Amino acid sequence: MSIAPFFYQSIREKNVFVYLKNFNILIWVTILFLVNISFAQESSSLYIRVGAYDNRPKVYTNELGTVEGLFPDVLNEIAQRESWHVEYIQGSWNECLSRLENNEIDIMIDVAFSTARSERFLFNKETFLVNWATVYSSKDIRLDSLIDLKNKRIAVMKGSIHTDGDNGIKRLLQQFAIDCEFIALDSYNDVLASLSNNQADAGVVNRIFGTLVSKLYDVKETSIIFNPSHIKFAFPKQSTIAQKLIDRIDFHLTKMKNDPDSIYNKAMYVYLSGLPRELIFAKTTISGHKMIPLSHSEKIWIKNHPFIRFGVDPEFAPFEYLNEKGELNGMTFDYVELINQRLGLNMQVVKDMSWNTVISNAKNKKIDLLPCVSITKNRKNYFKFSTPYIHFYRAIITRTDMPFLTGIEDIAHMTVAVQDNSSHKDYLLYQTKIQPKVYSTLKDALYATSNGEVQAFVGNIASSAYWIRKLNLVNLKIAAPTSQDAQTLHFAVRDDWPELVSIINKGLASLTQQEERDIRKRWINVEYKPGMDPGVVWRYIIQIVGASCIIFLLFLCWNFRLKNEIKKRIQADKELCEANERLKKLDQLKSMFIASMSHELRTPLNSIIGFTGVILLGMTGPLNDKQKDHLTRVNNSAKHLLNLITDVIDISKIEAGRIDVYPQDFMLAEVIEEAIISIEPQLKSNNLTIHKFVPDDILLHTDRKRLLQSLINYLSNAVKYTENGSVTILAELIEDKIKVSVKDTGIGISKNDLPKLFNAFERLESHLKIKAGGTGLGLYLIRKLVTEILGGDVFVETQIGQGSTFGLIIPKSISLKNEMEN
Amino acid sequence: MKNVLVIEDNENNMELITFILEANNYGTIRAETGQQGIAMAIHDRPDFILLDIQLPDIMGTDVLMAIRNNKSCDKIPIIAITSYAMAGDREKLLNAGCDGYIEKPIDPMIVMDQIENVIQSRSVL
Repeated sequence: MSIAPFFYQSIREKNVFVYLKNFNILIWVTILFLVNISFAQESSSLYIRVGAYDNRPKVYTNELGTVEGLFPDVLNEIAQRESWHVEYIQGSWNECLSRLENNEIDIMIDVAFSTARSERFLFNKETFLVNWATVYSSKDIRLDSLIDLKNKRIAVMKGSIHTDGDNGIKRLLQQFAIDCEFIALDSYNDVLASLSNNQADAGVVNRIFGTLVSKLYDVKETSIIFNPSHIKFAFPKQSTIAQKLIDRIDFHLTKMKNDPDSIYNKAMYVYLSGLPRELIFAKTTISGHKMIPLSHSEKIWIKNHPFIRFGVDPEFAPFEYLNEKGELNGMTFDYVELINQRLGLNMQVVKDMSWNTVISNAKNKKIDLLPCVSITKNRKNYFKFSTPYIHFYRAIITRTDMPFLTGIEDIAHMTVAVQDNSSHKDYLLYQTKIQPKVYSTLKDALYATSNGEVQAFVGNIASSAYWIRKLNLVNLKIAAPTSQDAQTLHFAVRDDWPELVSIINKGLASLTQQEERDIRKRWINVEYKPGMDPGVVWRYIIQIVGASCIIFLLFLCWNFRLKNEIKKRIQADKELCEANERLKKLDQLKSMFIASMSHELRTPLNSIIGFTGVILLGMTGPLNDKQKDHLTRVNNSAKHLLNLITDVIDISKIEAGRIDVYPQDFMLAEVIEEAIISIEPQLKSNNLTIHKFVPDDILLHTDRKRLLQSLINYLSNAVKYTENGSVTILAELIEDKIKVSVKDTGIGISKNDLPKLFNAFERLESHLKIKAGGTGLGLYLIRKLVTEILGGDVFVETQIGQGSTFGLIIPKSISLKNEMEN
Repeated sequence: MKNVLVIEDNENNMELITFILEANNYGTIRAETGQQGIAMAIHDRPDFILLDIQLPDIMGTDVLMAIRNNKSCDKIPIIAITSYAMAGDREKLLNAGCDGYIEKPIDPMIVMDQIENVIQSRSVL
């Protein structure tokens, strides 16, 4: 409520207080008092103009001209609580917005929040609802992500924010560079229809429309959603009451959202599930806070079946049983009563029958319903079953002097009792090898177990426990569960009444967790409370001591297992190390294999290169131009392949640690000269000049061949990637190291590509890639040679368009360590 | 016309080398194994020998030694044909008394120059 009543009250108190002190002031206070009342009245009958347009189910006008929908229904509720007068002013969306801007309406509903809009309007804080776009697909197409939309036909609605908006599908796909064909349609209905008849592969609709309408079409909802928007209430900027409205609306909205039974939550559920609007305001029948949406035909069915007979197992406590006075008792009875009340059913128990008679009468449809049974294969032939509503465990009961059991396997060779017409009997017959001895009642079966007629009994843990206590069969114990899986109990309905099954299911669904908890408490927990006679106390002491022993044993057991576990882990670690070692060996083997295999590959290639060379030289007779051209291609390809294999051999030899180092004394200038000579033909064909700045007095002691190989590789790269200009080779002595750089005026390399430059099979994108050829192994090999053989390092400096400088820095004299190692 | 002994087990290589030699007016004698090669070197006394160092029966270096140690043919120039993969062997070959080597793949354009260079430098000595 507004602050007015509070103000009113404080003034009145003050009024009384002042009255006692000074009569004069009373007049003033009285005036204030009156002003306050009039203010309070004015505020309570606040008159609010609300914009309304047509956008089912969020807001629309019904046949009688009344505005209703998700927003109006909730707003009306707030208005009622605040005593506001609400008048809806109808118009198109754009009309409504311009009215809002001109302060002709006080609230506009269903406005998606955006920064642009927040400059024009005020918004409340609490989001009313989040909407977004959902992608639907036709039934036979699978779409998991936006990327799957590539080359698909996508149906969209013209002018929708999900189509053309800032975060619409078109912009979105464009940002991902996904190409597809858009089919622009007039309505969301057309979008879904186009999916149904395969004119489009995917379609975009807003999520509310999708959830409501997609069932009518043959379409599939995908997990692709986008463009979420927060839908709120909007208010004019210059409005004087806006801030008050915002405060109150946020207050109520937050409160309603937290209350599952609020109009807000009911309206969301009802509108977004396409249910009739009346359900929002319907008062529920008995408990007052649960709706049971029965269909029309179900209501008629209930009317036509005023009396439903059900049968019970008179001894199936605590689920269902007849007490000493012959009254029905137990959990099931509570369920039946609740469902009777809620649904207006009249389920009545048929008394004075044994369980076997009940079953046979139910099979003959003299009884319509069994409210508390498990599902068995046999029963499925006669009944239809409701959803489960009670869970129980099946257990083995033995005498206390029987040895410890772990499960059903341990009683396979015993005589086992079971109750006739129970799910446990079917279980033993069909799922174990046990041939049970059948007793007509649970009591008889337990007596038989107690007096030694049979060695064990299999049955429901709860009802067995109940009867063991009730009959005071102190020599029986619950020995072990048959399995960890819970068994379930259901209503079984005669199979020609399927309507009743769905009615009961709805009734069961309407029970709250609290109600079910209460029922369980009443029948299970309470019944277990024992009397406190001295014998029982002693038994408890013994039990506690026993339990402590068991816990202690378990503790020891656990410790033992833990120790074993640690042992296992250590073993696993060891195995892991060994596996790692094996892998390393395998890797070396692989490299060796490649080295020898590559050698075998070279032999036939040598023949191809040799013979094509001979023919190309015209030694076997003249060739025409085409023949010459084609044979040149064969020859070049074979040479290329040979280079590749040669590189592979070197790399795998290095990786296998099998390359030999041959250090020798030589002059650096000589090696550089030799490298230049070997690339001279390439230099000439590319019309490049080479500059050399090499001191001719540097004497090296290292592997000459590998240094030469690295330099040739660098130089030939430089030549390949330089279209015009020059290549420069520089050498200098830096303390005990030499630095050789090869500088070109070529295309350069982008910074992003630098890290992968020296990796195997990396070939950077450039217009020269094809022309230049190459294996993608050159720089990788250089790095391997320089770092692993020559004991130095490689470097590169580059700028795109400015050329690159590649180089190496190696020790002048190969270190002893390196020599030894190799 | 000069006679050349080619010791080479690979038929294709043999055909290629002998073809190039014959096209350049050399007479050829062919041996497919090391043993055969040694025998022919002693018996036929070729003007020079081309020796593949990877042979099926005995190592190329052993053939080299055998020829160098036989007085009847120890002066015949021998050119080894090596494979790149046998990098370490090249120095051993030169030390074992080889006069020069040609690397595979054989390039018909320059192989004769390579051979003649070796022969000439040998005859200068």
